[in-house]
Amino acid sequence: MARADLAIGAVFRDEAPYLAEWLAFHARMGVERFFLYDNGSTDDWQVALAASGASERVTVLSCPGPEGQVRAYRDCLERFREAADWIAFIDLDEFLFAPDGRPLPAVLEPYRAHPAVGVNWMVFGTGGHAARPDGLVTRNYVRRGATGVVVPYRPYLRSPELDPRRIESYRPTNSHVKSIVQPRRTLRAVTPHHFAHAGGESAVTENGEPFDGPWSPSVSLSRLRINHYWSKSAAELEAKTARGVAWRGLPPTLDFNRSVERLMNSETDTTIFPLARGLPGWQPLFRAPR
Amino acid sequence: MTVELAVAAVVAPGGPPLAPWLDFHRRLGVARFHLYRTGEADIVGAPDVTIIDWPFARPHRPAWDHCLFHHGPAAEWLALLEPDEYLFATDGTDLPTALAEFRDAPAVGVARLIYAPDPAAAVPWQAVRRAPASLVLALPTFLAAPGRNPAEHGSYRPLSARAGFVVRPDRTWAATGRHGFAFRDGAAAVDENGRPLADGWADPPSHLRLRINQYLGTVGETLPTRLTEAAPVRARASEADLEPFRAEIDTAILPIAAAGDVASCKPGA
Repeated sequence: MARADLAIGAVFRDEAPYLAEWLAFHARMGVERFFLYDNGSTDDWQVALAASGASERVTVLSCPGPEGQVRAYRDCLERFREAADWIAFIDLDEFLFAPDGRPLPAVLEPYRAHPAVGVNWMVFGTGGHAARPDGLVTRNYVRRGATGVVVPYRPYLRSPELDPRRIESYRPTNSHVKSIVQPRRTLRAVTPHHFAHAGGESAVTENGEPFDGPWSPSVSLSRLRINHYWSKSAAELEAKTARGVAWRGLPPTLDFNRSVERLMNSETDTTIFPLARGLPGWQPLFRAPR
Repeated sequence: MTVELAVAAVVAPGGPPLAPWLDFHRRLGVARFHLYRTGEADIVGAPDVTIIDWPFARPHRPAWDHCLFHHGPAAEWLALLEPDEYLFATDGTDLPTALAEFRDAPAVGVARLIYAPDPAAAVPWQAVRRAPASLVLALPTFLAAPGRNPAEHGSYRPLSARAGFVVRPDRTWAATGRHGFAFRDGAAAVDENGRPLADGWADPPSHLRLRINQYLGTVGETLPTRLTEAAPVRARASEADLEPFRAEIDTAILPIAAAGDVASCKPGA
């Protein structure tokens, strides 16, 4: 297979209902290949993949066990280093796009001098959905947290010695990045969010600011962006919490996650609509005239 | 010839650039513009633009009435906008198609989101920082009802609830003000969800399907005047006044305004 301009590396577990939409959306945004790692799914993801129409672009590998994300990302880099110019490492509840609608490879072109681009996200809540609604994630979930919203979550502390009771001690949720890396210039995944690069080079933000680690020094979502459908419905948040996390650390409790979710519904955000409206199963916003 | 959608606007000297505003709305299906020129406002003519010199001190209400009477019969829908207001359907649907769903109502009141001035933006719609949808300023016009305690935050409607109107001229009696209209047969305008507007306000504001982006101009404008038509609290807005208008990042208009680029992004590309 020819070298791709852009691929995605992702870990999934029991996310069959969302696989087809996620693949179709990113194919539409210019992603040519998908390297997917199954972290112990028990659902019928094979059926969903076959029905997606994108299966020829998808390579599925197995990566069971704890801390699957970093192991999978490291494997992906080793195995597919020559398969793509760029690999974006995101999750199946994350949708990566250029807010102006341009194809992602074209947007990434100016960043070739850098080993990686860190992409900020907007985090979406349930929008009042108690259970999974029919239709597409990109159409159903339209309420997100405010830009700059802060969650009192220990990993978000600016430094360990700061007072965890003070909200100022935490980084804004939006400043957590996901990475799009040039695999030939990337050594390994350090966390699910950031990577070590050859020669100690730094990643950059969409505005070209160099930074190291999983947090960007500023929040900017004008050129690249991720919609993180973190909770989906209340029932799915409960299931997700029970499933645990694919990374190291103490998993949050359901009560904590519910308190976070309540912060993630303050603004209506339809930025993804014009880009997703052509997806199979999209529910039109306007009824055709009688 | 009757068009599906026309726009009326009052254009004052020193206002925002008209070319991107005209181009944006043309792309979304506006077929005719009726521009009421106050003073020496510079307007470049075009076949779809009618220019009416309009020497009124408070120009909006008489302009809306003039447009309804003289140009209304030639349009199924008439949007009454300002040159700093960009009306669009959030999924990029062209406006006549979107409005067709509301044909049983005499008008649609569209909630707005208000953007801070952005010196880096070559055209207004490139600004990315806006006020939260819930932003409240203690301005008398925004009191939710007479007699409410003006010292309480909850007494005010959010700025985004100020509706912009798209009316059916054949069912609209007259303008009652810059932001209000009376409709024939006592009918009421609706919001994007089909709910009757409360006293002409899109409250609670909803921005899921239709919205107006309003782009404030450069610092130094009389912000309270712009938002309320009332006497300004201060003559000039300061950077601090505008800070709440920079809290949110919102680029929803970008793929719609840059429609040519979106078209190049095909499925399976």
